[in-house]
Amino acid sequence: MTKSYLYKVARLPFKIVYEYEPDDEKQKNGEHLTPSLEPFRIESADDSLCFTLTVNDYFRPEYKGEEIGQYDCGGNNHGVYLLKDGGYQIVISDYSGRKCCLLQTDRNFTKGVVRLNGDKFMRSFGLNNSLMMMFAFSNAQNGTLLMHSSVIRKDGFGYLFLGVSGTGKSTHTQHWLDWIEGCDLMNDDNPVVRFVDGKAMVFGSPWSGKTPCYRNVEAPIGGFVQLKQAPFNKIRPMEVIETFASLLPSCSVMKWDKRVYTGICDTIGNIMETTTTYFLENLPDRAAVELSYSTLTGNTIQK
Amino acid sequence: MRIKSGFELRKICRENIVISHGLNNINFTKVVSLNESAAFIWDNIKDKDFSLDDMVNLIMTEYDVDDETARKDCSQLLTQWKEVGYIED
Repeated sequence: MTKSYLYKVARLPFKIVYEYEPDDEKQKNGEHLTPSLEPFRIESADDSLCFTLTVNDYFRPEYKGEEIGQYDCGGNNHGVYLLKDGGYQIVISDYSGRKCCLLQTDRNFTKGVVRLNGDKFMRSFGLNNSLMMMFAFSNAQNGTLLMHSSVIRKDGFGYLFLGVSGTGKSTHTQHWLDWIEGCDLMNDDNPVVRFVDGKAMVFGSPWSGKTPCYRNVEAPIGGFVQLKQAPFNKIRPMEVIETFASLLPSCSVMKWDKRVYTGICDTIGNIMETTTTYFLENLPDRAAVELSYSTLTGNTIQK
Repeated sequence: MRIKSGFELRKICRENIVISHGLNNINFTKVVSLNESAAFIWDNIKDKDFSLDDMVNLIMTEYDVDDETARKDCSQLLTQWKEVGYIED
């Protein structure tokens, strides 16, 4: 028996198929594992699907293939193996090192099977991480990036704040929300950035880290800000090479996969053609927000 | 010598940027930009064996420069490429 659900994130439709044994009454797997996907659910898809992910319960770490490596993805481990047919097998562990699932995909990430394992948290974690990879890598040649960033919308434009943990990103974006009227948070961790019809766009997504902010919203990009803590406030536009070196590590990539990697590099180039990235050295204060806000929008904060 | 596989020159936002991909370059994180003449050399020696003389000849056919200057500049460029790790024997 199977149940299927369609979703559309950043205008890109995909399908999840849950497979059940006939005698499976508990149905540990199902749409209850992905509540953050609900705002993105659609009834039918007009465009072709970017991927189909089949979900079942047969967790067996087999068909290992050649180990590419073990990667730390923000505190959780991804063990990646290259299969003979060019596809991938990925074992995803949670923050305590428990193996949550086994993802097997074709080389283009258009068809995948994920075998879930463990309790509800582990299943949900494994499925969401599998979905992120399927989404990012099936669309890598399609002008699409899954970026690590916090996004604020103001007057119809999305502003993306970049920086690893500890750079004051959360503080700075929270200050925008607190002190600038009419701002809202589009996503706090993993928005989708796309180059569509010659325009750089940012989209809310079902993936938002620790902040539950799963919004089906979109906006043209108003600018990027790379943050760094400093004992002063200073902002400047970044050079091309600096911007590239700043945007690339903020994207989900697979460096060993030429198709994915060059696709992502080209998309970053297109995004850079139509946007500006600023480098903001900042204190956690109001003056920093006034500086970044006026530089990005040309406006001043209304007192 | 030749340029190692997995290093690729791409035009990004009107600049010549060398990116790296492939299993051998997983831990390679440098991003380097090349000026027009360095990019011209790269495009003409990639995917084949080359020598310093080849680089000098390329530059002298394309640009109005004397042998001594071309040799000095190419030698300096080659040293930089070796330091970054682009070149194998």
